[in-house]
Amino acid sequence: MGKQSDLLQGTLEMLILKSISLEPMHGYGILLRIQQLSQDRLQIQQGSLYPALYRLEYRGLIKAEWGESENNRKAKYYRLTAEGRRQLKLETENWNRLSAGVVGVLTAEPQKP
Amino acid sequence: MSALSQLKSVLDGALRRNRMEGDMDAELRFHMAKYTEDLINSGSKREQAERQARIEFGHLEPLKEECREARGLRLWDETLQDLRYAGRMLRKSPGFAAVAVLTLALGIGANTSIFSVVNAWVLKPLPYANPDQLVAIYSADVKGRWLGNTSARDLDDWRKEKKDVFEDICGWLTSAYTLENGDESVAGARVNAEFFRMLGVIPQQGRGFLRQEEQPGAPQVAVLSHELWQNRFNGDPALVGKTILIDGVGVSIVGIMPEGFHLPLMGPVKLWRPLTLGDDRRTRLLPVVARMKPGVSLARATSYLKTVARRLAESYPATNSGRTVQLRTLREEIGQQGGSQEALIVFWLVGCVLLLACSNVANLAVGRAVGRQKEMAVRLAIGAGRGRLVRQLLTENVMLFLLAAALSVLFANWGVRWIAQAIPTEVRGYLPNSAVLRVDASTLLYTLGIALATGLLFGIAPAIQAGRIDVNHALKENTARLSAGGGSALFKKCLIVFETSLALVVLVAAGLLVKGLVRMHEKDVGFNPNGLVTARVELSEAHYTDPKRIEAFKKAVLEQVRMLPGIRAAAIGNFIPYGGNDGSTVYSIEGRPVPAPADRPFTLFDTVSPDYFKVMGIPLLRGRVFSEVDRADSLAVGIVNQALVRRQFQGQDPLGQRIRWSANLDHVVMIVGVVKDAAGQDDTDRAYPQIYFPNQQHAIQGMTFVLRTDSALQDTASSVRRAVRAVDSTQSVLRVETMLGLMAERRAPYIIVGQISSFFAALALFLAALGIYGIMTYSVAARKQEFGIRLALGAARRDLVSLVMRQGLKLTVIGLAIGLAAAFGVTYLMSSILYQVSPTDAATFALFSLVLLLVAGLACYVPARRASSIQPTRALRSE
Repeated sequence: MGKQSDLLQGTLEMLILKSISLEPMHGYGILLRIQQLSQDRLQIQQGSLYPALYRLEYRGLIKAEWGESENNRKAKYYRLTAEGRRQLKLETENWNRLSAGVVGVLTAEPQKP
Repeated sequence: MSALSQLKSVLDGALRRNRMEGDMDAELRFHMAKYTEDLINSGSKREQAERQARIEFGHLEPLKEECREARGLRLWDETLQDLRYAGRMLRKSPGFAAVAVLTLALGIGANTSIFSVVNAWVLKPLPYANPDQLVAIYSADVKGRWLGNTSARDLDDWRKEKKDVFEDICGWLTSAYTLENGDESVAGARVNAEFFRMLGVIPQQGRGFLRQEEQPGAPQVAVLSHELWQNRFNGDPALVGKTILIDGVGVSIVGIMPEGFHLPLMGPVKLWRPLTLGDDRRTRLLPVVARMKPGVSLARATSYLKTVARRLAESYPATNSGRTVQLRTLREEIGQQGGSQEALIVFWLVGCVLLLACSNVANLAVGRAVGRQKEMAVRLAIGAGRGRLVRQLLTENVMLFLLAAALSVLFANWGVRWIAQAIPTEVRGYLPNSAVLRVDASTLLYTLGIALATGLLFGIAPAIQAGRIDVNHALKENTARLSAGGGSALFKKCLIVFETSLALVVLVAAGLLVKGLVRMHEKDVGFNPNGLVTARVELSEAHYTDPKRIEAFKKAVLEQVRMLPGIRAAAIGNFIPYGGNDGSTVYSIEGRPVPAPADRPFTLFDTVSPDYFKVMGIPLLRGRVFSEVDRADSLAVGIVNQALVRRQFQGQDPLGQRIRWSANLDHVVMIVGVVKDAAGQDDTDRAYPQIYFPNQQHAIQGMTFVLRTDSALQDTASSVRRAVRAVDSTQSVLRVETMLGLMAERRAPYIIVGQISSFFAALALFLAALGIYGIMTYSVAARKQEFGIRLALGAARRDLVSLVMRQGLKLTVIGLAIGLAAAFGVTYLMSSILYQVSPTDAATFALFSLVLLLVAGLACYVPARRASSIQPTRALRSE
């Protein structure tokens, strides 16, 4: 039940932003979407999503509204704010740069002097 | 955007906490339900699915807490918790809370009230449009020995040469006007037409003056102050456009200024009329204020106008040689004349008092923190963070200071009201923003600011101290042994030194001011002010130009006044002591080489009726006083005072000497008498050289009747007014006041500052004594066992007393040394507000060092005696 590591926390937030970038979703939906998109390679603990969601809301990156879920139950839906969309773009770019760099290092052939 | 969402999140959490908690709960339950459903759909049994969901979610409470923290609520929650806890702690020790809050409230209240004054006089911008562009212009001599007013022709030439440097240049002449209603004349001024426009103040009704209204023969117009409009005309809404009689002439009112409008340099003026500049370049009577064009610096304006002055000096050497100009910002000028110096010095003194109050509370807080070490240790042991403890203690401290700030508003209100009523009405006319002397929003903000700042500053040391305790040690030891921790002992030593030096600064500063007050009361002013009433009359310039008419008026009124019941004697002077205005002239002694214009000495002068000296009680030392023998056509005579004799006739007989005077030294008088120095030519009461001329030989439109009477001021006032009316119904009396009243007015700044600072000095002494006593008592209590052992080993009780005393007094002496050095710096800045006392007056410094040493000695002696009366057996057993 401990906190995620820092890297993972940041990453989780990025994944949340990505998964609601198309349409507003409730917390459980976000969790399912991440699992589905990652083809179950990323496992997220059931509750751990919520502190991240609240943090994002606190930072003004997402906004929450109560709405009706598929079977007419009240659920809290999260959607991106303009600020959140900018942040997602920024983080995606950063992530791509970082991973490209890491891949570059790891796949480099040792060269003779 | 982000800050907004954070604020909203915290506010939501704070204000709608229940709803937020409910939402969070509902959201988590929804998630669990959906997950359970999915598990069931994929084949699990309901019971099993619910169990798995619960397991995977883990404990809900830590999760919720994490969510709350994510929403930024944790800080809020903890602060609330701290505040509640602080409230409980303070309720538990009401004695500590009461002493601390009261001490602080006094300190903060004193600061708030003085700040209100500083705010009004120093910080608030002058109530004119773009006040930074406004400057006062003085005629000056090239050597910079004096600054003064300007002649009509010079002003006229300056106004023609404004160019792109000045927007407007305006001069004025104050005078008294008699209105058709009421028999008290009104202080007014003739001003250049652009005066109101220059200050950027628009009349509340009607308009200011037009350029053509300055021309001779233009229709008579006037602008009234809001106050005059309300008091004399009952706020008549249709007054503008009406014609009223002023000095017996019909004048139409063209405007009314907004409430509170005044120019401090001008004094309490209530009526303005256009100024027609005459042809005179010799007489310099006009004060001048100007507005510089935007972007023009003071230096550029000064150098430009100096060039103009140089040109004038070349063109008119007879009147202008050796003359130039000086410019000063209006703000600086008003500040210098308007008590900002006094306000600032008192402000620093009360700052010291607040620091003393804070030190005492910090000391109390340290003492309490030591007593609470066990509590802190327990809380650390069960998992509280040290940072958290420090924050908790800081919250407690800040809460104390905020409570004190709330209470201090009450004290501040009293303080400001006291200061406002202590300033004589006449003096108020010279103070900037005098209408707004009150505790306002910006003052309250200041109060809150200093409460928070001092609360944090003086709370941080005790809090950190408490946060540093060693848990194991603290839990094991008994409380008595914990107290004398090294860090806190050093802190307390520093406090004693700090408090002593602060108190000495305040005491010495106040001591010098009070010594000045004592000198002031003992001062032989050179005449007898008791039972003297003065009545100021300024004849209207239009009616009285002929010297014979002026002389006749004076004679007639004197005759009338002398017949009044209750008046024992009456005479006329013009620039009487404490009257607030003076005349000065350059002079030279006949038969000696005449100095160059820039080197000629100055003397004050006055024109008086023959029995002026007798009525005033100014003793004649040699020769004779004036008499009816001195007529307009007889030999011009003068009487000089001792100061002039000292300056010019050391070892010579002044009688029979001739003195040349006036701007070009073209008047001559023969000295026929020497009188004692009379004080009161300025508020420092120093004696300046002075020459008196007889009324009959120098007709001047201004005059002050001096009357010896036993009647009440009001009776005298109305009978004098009637007498003036009886002689000329178009003239009236400007002001009737007792000499003692005039003296109180001129001395008001010294008296107010002296009273305020002696009050705060007493407070400072009390706080310092309390602080030293508290610290020493505490240190004695902490060393009880040590003293017990010393006694058991054979120390005499006397030795213990001297041990404790030595410890305390050593620190006091260090404090005194630092305080003396600081006091020298502070009092040096005060020299301008000290009444005939040197800022380094050795007696005062010595006296108050001694007083403080004695008080500190007493504050140490009481705990020392207690130390010596310890029962060794009991002290050792209490281990």
